[in-house]
Amino acid sequence: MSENPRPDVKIRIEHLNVRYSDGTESLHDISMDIYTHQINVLFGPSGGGKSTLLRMLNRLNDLADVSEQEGRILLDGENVLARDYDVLQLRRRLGIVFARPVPLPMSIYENVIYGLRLAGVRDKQQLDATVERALKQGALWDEVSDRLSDSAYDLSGGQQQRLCVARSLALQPEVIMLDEPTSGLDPISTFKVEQTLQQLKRDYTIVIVPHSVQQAARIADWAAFFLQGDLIEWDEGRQLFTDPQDQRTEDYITGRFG
Amino acid sequence: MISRQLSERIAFGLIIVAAAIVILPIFFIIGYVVVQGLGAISWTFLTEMPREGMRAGGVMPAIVGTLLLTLGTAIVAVPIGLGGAIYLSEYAGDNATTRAIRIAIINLAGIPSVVYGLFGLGLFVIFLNFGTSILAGSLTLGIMTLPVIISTAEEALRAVPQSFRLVSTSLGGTRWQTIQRVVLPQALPGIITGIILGVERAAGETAPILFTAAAFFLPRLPASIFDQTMALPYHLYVISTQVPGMPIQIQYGTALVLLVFVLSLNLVATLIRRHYRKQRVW
Amino acid sequence: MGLEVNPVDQEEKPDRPDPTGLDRVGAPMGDDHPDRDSPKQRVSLFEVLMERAIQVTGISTMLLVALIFLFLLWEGVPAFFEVPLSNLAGARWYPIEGLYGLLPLIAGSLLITIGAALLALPLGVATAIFIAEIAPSWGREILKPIVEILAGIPSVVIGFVGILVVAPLFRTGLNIPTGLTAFTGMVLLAWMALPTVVSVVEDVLDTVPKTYRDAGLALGMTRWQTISRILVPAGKSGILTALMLGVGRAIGETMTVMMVTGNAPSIPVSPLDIFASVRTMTATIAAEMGEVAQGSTHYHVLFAVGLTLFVITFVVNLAAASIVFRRTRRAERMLS
Repeated sequence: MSENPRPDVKIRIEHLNVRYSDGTESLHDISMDIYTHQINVLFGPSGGGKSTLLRMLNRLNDLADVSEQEGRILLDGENVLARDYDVLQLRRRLGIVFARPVPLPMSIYENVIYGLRLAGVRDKQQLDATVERALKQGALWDEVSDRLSDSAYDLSGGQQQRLCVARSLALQPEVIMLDEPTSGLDPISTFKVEQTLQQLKRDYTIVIVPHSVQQAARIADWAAFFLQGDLIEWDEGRQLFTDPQDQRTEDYITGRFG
Repeated sequence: MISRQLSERIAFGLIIVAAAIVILPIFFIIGYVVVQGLGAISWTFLTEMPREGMRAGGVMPAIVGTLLLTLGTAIVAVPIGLGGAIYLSEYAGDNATTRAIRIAIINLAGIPSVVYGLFGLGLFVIFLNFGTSILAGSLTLGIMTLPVIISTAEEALRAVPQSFRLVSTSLGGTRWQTIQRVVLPQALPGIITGIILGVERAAGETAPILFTAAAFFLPRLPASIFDQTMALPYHLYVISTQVPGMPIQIQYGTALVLLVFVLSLNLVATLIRRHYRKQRVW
Repeated sequence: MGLEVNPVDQEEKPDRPDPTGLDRVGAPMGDDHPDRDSPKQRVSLFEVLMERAIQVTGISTMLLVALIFLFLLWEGVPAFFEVPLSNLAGARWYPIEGLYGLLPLIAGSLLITIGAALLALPLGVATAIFIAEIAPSWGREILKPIVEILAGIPSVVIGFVGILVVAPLFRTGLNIPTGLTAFTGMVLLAWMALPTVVSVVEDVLDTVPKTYRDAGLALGMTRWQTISRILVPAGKSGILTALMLGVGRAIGETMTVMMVTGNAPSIPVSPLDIFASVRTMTATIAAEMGEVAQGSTHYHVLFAVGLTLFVITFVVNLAAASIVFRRTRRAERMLS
């Protein structure tokens, strides 16, 4: 483990166990921290439970068929899995971007402010300002500022994904979670998204499931390696990718399997 | 032994003949009614009361009655049908209640229309004392229409990609907000198509209104929903089987008006479906 | 185009490993979904009421079926106390003299339904094969809506044309005293049941994987051999469902039957009797209910006939549904 002083903890995961009703995918006794203003990378072969973990953090898994869950997820010290936790507020604080872009069937403008509308914001000036800020942060403003009322489906794949990032940013979340956000993108778009992430981490906490080991190594401040529902190793990115402590981690990052 | 090519040719020939037996009479029936009935159609036929024991004059009260019953059917069936569809598509889990509801809907769809008529007579006309009335007829037809509306609307709702629901939820949307802002608008064309198709069927039905709403002859328009009414399908039945010496022109004219009314609803539904299927982005 | 950017389709099965994990959410939320009970959430009262209303409408479909059954029982069961069973089981339906023999009505319904089913099934399967497999795609685009239009033609219009055109045609063509016969009813009923049969069979043929067709053709089979030896057997359960639904539709049809079958309540004994007049259960209710005194024996017997129809269609539709359910379950098993 690294000797450096650790950053502030944003989310602490304690002994998290999850199982779906159909028994396919699960998480076993996961304990780790998500650090503030860092890029926290969750990586490993598919089916390892990374996406499940992301969806546990903002309780999107409430929609799925989860049969068993135990443990605690503490966001700023409060257990988000508690029955009376304000889930709607939680989801505004933890934005998520999915593997493939999912623009809602409405205009670019309406996509960005969708979350605000749900929260009941009506003030036109505030909405306009949010659209501009979010699209600028998502590095899309220059490309779409003159056609905000166009359908979001008129955008290219890379633009759509940045729109989805902007849509999450519009709610000014504290944490942004990205689930293989560049898996469908070309190298240039991927580079753009990664660049954006480096800027975003100044204001936000980032949790990302990268689409390759290379990407993981490029961007990770902190990295956690998942294998079949187990957290194998979790350390500072520099440390983990240069000197992994577990044989399985080494095998995976050196490309011996996966 | 005949060759495989020959047997294929024979089989395809028979199939084409069978398909023709099915499809050609559709054109024939519609064409026949149009050709025979066109001569009867005039402004007065559409806007006047029947006269001389229905052997002269127009069919205006029957047209009005069918419009009223169609409207009433929609008012009864749309809220319940839409609610049921939303329940099945967005709320119902995979459990015994859901299966029971599905079986109930299948069963509702299969009940003979005349049995709906009996039910309407027993419950609405007699037990609830609505009398033979537009209200009783609309309720009966509305219940009969439910399964069509529920199943088409549910299909339309389910066709909306799950990812939209996921995104809306992830942005802090409640279940109802997600339904209201994303799912319903996207499913709307399909739902409207289903409503029109359901109502169309109700508009052409005779048996359910026989004892619940229909009047043999009414010398005036219904004044309230507690009045009986004339209706095109029942009127056609009456003048083609119950009234001796009925001029054939009037019979064909009535059939044509009914057919045009029902088929234009059908056409509207088809056009809506086509139009929005092309526009859909997902 | 839209499909490429759409990560999740309804049809996606959770068993396929999917890196996005999006399809996890395919299952609808259960009633015990934690969202609902969370007191801290700012869910408006309107929303709570809306969700309750939606639940109520869902449940109401079951209540409606129960209610219909209840009213038929309520009004129909007294018949079995007022009329001796030997009378109800008799061969004469003559209410004016207190004769309520249901046999001729049941026989009439069965005769016409079976006849219609026998006619409709081959025609329907053939038409479905034509539309799904043989016709060029532009033909399909046109033919499907046309068959749907048939479903939309009011039965009273078909009865009307039946009286004026079909019955006279059969009378002269077959040289029989009247055209208003069981046979005329069968033909028209078969034709009216066709949209149901065609659309169910066509759906089934659509779900047979394309690889089956390719496999057949790759083995050097002709298109017809592929259809008759692979597709039709693969769609067997669907064809059975179509038959059941067609029967359900035919036995409940009222207006057309009442208008074209002549309505004489007699029991068919010889095959030639299909060219005689019959009367069905549905037609009897429709024709007589309007003239009976409410609460009279005749009234109760007509409700008992309705009850019988309800039970028959209930069983037939349940059977059809269970075939469908079994098929989907098997399909799910095959995919998992």
